[in-house]
Amino acid sequence: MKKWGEVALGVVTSIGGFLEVGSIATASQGGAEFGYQLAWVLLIGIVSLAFLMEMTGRLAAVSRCTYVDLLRERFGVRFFLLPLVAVFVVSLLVLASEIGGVSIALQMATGIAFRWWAMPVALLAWLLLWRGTFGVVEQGTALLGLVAISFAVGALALHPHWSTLGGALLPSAPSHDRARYWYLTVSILGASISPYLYLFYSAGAIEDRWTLEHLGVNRVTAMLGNLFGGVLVIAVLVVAAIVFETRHIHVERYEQIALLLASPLGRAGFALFLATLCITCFGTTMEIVLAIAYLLAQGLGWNWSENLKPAKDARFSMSYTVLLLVAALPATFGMDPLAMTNVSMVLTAASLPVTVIPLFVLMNDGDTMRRHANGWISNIALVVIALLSVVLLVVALPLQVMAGG
Amino acid sequence: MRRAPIGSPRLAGCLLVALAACGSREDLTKQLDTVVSWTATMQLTTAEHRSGALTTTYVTQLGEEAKQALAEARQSLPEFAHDSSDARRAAAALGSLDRAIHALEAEVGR
Repeated sequence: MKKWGEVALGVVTSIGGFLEVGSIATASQGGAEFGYQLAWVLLIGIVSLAFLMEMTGRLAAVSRCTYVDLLRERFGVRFFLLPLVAVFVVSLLVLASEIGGVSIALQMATGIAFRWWAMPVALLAWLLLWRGTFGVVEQGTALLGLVAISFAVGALALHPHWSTLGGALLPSAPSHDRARYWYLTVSILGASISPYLYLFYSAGAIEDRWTLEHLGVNRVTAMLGNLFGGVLVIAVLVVAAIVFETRHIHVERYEQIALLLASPLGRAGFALFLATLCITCFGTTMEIVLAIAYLLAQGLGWNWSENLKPAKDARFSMSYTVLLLVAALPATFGMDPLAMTNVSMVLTAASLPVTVIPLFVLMNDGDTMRRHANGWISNIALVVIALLSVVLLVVALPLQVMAGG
Repeated sequence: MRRAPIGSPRLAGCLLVALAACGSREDLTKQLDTVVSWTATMQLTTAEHRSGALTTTYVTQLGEEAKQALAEARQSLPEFAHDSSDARRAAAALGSLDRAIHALEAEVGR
């Protein structure tokens, strides 16, 4: 019974956690400019993330170490600096975008400019992390994040063309504006397969003291959670396709996206959109800042746990304090949240190889994984994801220059 | 050493001009798409505000963003217009956005 409770919590966490500033922005831009056509990219992102989370969760449950610990131990400190720096930089950018997302939601609700909200948002996140435990961060944001289901309700209310949507789950070439199409493909993948997601998941498995008994929970949580969370992002794309593409509205500013749910659900839809943006970005803010703090602490051998008092893991607590302060600066200085989000999603996509390729080695290491090493299905999936990550690395920056706007 | 034919620089120059022209045409289309997008945004916003779906606080912010987009387009569009046909298209698009913003302001000021 307790196990099913953990599965339910994991699935709920994924529902709330999947939607955030990057996925909302990129899915609405994709839907507005190409209708349902980019749904296949979301499908690839959902499946890839499910595999990566299942593997990093299994790795943690079997070895009782986080993925970051094993990266450093297995590959040595010199190699480890590469993923450390790459993930640190892109995750910090994503963190800044999330704080921008909460701030812009508060601006739309109150009329007070988003730059004034960035520091109070960072302060509130810091306070919750300082005073709270891992359970508070995980469960609190997960339950509140259920408000994101409003996107699925909105999509159903608009009566999407199911057969067209089904057809769009198969890859297709763009009919117009090729550079922009591939740019959005990379952005959507960057938003879906962010390294912080599986690094946070792996650290969470250690925080929750997973053992071999949790392998079933891990598998179901990774699959179902990403399935449900992914459905919500597809719902964003569907709503954007119906509300925006038919009217030739392109998303130039984040403020336009708030129109999405007002069309199908009226005033309640508008309020639900603001609540979804605010809550999911705030939840993700706490997850990312913890993920970066975990990365630093595990990588540099500090004490770490969100369940410890700050005095017991001072460097870990200090790192999330400084990170929140630094990440609030771009929005405080008025940097456009949408532009910041788009750049951070593309760079996230480019950073994937440094965490995906070493995972292949670890998941097939008999000493680490014993009889729980990857089977052929997981290995094929991981090779495909690794190849995809290399392609993303090569094309991400040229596409940002050509079509990033 | 083999000398380049005399016509080459001229040909290259022509090609560059042609390429630049193509680029500008694409830029014009993109700029016009942006203006059309903002016009449609204003029309949708006006309709949704009329139906009570949007708050005046939010609608006012979006109106300000549209005004900024209009001001930017007014500055940049003439640079991309090659002939009178382009200029007419640009003026029509800008006029539509201007009217849509005024309609929104009238709706909010109601």
